[in-house]
Amino acid sequence: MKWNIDSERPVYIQLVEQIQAGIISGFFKPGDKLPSVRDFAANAGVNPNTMQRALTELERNGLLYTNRTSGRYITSDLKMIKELKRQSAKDITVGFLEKMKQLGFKEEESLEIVINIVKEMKK
Amino acid sequence: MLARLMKHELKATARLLVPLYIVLLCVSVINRFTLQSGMGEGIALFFRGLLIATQIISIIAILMVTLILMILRFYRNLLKDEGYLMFTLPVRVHHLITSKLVITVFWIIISLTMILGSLGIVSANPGMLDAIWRGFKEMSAELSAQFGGNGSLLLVEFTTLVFLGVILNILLIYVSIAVGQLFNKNRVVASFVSYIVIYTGLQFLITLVGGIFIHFNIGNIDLVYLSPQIIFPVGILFALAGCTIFYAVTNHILTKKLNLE
Amino acid sequence: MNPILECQSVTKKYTGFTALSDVNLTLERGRIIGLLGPNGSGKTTLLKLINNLLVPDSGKIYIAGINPGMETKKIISYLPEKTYLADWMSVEQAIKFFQDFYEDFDSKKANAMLADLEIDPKSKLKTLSKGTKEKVQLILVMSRQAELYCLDEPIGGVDPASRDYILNTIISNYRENATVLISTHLIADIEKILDEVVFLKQGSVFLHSSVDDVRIQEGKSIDSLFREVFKC
Repeated sequence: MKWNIDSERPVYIQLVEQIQAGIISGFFKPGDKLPSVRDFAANAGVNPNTMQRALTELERNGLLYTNRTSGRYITSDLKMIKELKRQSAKDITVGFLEKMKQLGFKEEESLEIVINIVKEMKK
Repeated sequence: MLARLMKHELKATARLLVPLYIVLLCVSVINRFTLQSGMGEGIALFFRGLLIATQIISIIAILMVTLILMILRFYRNLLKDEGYLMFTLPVRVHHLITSKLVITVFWIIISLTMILGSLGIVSANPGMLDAIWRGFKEMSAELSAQFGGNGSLLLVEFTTLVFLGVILNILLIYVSIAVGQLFNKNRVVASFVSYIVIYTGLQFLITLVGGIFIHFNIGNIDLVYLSPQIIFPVGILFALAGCTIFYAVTNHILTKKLNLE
Repeated sequence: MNPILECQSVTKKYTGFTALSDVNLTLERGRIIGLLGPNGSGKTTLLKLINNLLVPDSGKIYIAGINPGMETKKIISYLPEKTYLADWMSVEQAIKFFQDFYEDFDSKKANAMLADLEIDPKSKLKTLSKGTKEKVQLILVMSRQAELYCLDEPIGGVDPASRDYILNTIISNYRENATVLISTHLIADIEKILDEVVFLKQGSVFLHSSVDDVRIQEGKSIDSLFREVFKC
C-alpha cells in the first residue's frame, strides 16, 4: 500500500482517509484481514498509537470490525462500502466545482468541460 | 556481575600481554641452548647478541606494558567514550573499580612470574632449586633467632605488606585519575598533578609518623626485635587504611561526580 | 498511572552555566517521544541524568518509580551519540558482551538485524565505517527488551535507506509497556513516528504535547513549529 502522509496535518486523519480510499478502490477487499497495528504502522511509517487511533475511528463508523481472537477485518457490508464510494465521489465533485468556481467557471460550464475531456480521453 | 566484569577485563588485556609472554618464553628457551653452547664467531656471535637483547627488551616491554595497561584501562575504559558503556551497565560502580584492581594485580603477579621464569629458564642448573630452598630455610632460621621465634610471622607480614603496597600504589593511580576528571579542562595534566600531590603527601605522612615514632623510642633498641609484633602490623594497618581511603574516594568521585565528556 | 520517567524540579549546573533549570517532566509508557531542541538546550544533559551518568544538583528523577542506579540501568537501553564500543572487539564479541550483562538482550534479533543490514558479525569494529558502527550500536540497543529506550541522534550519520530501516525497527519494536525517547535534529524524518514532543529551550521545558495536538492547534508540522520557536 502506497501511503502519502504529510506532517502538516494530523496523521491519524490522513490514515483514516487513505484507508477509506483503499477500501473504495478495492485495494482492501470486503472481509480482508488487516495486519496487526504494529505491522500496519511500520508499513505506513507511522506511530502505532496513531495507527490505533485511526483504526478505532474506522471501527466507529463501521468500516472495520474486530474479531476478538483473530484481529481486524474490513467490513463485508457492500452497501456501506458503496455508500462510502458515493460519498467520496460527491466530496471530490463538490471540491472540483468549488475550485472551478474560483477560476470563474459556472457549474454548467464546468460540466461541459468535463464532458469534452471525457470524449477526448475516449479517442 | 563482578565476575563478568573481570572476565571481560581479562579478555581486553590478555590480547596485549599474552603475545609478549609467549615471545619472552620462546626467546628464553632459545637462549638457554645458544648460551650453553659457548662462544661463537662472527655471525653466530651476532645472533646470540641479538637474542639476548630480545630477551632483555621483552622483559622491559612486559614491565612497561603491565604498568601502562594498568593506567590506560582505567582511564580509557572508564573515563573516555567507553565510559558511556561501562557506566550504563547494570553493575555497581565499585564493581568496576574492583574488577580492574583484581585483574591488574593478577597481571603483575603473572608478569613477574614470567620474568623470573624467563631468567630461570636461561640460567637454571640441577642443584639450583635445592640451593634456593636451603638458602630460604637458613634465612627463616636466622630470622626466627633474631626475632624470638617469630621468623615465619615476619615473613607472612612482610609478604602482606608488599602485597598491600602494590594495591596501594594501584589505587593511588586510580584515585589520581579520578581526581583529575573532576576538572573540566586538562584532565590528564590534573591527574598527573594529583598523583604527585597525593604521593608526596603520602611520603610526608610516612616520614612524619616514622620520625615521631623514632623520636620517642630513640633509646629503645629492643623495639627492633619486636618488629613482627609492632612495626610490621602498624605498617600493615597504615597500608590498609590508605587503600581503603583511596578506594572510597575513587568510588565517591565516580558515583557522585562523574562527568564524561 | 505508572509513568516510566518522572523529573521533579531537576536542575543541573556546570561551572559557568545552567544546563537544566527546574525541569518538570512526566513520560508515560507505550509512547515514542521526541526530545527536541537546539545544541546546548540541555538534551544530552537530561539523557545523561536519566542514565545516571550525571547527578542532579537539585530535584528528583524517578525511572519506573526508582532512583537512577543499578536497578534502573537494567531497564533502560541507552544509545549515546558516541562510539562507545571498544575498537578491538568484533561485532560478535560486542553481542556476546551485551548478552553477558543484559538479561533482556535478544541475540537472535540482533543477528537478524545484522544480516538485514549486511554487516558481517566477524568483522572487527575498527574496520567498520562510522555509519556502520552507529548501526551496530543501534542494533545492540534495540535488541534489548527494555522499558525505556534513550536514543541520542539515532539516524544522524546514516544513509536514507538505513534511516527508514531504523525508523521501521523502532516502530516494530513498540510495546505497550515501553517508551522510546529520541533526541534528534532530524525532525522532519522522525515526526511521523512520534506520539509526543518535548521542546527544550535553554534548559527548560518549553512544550510537551502530543504531536497531533500540535498539528491541529498550530496548523503546521513539528518541523515548522520548531523552526519558528527556535529561530536564530
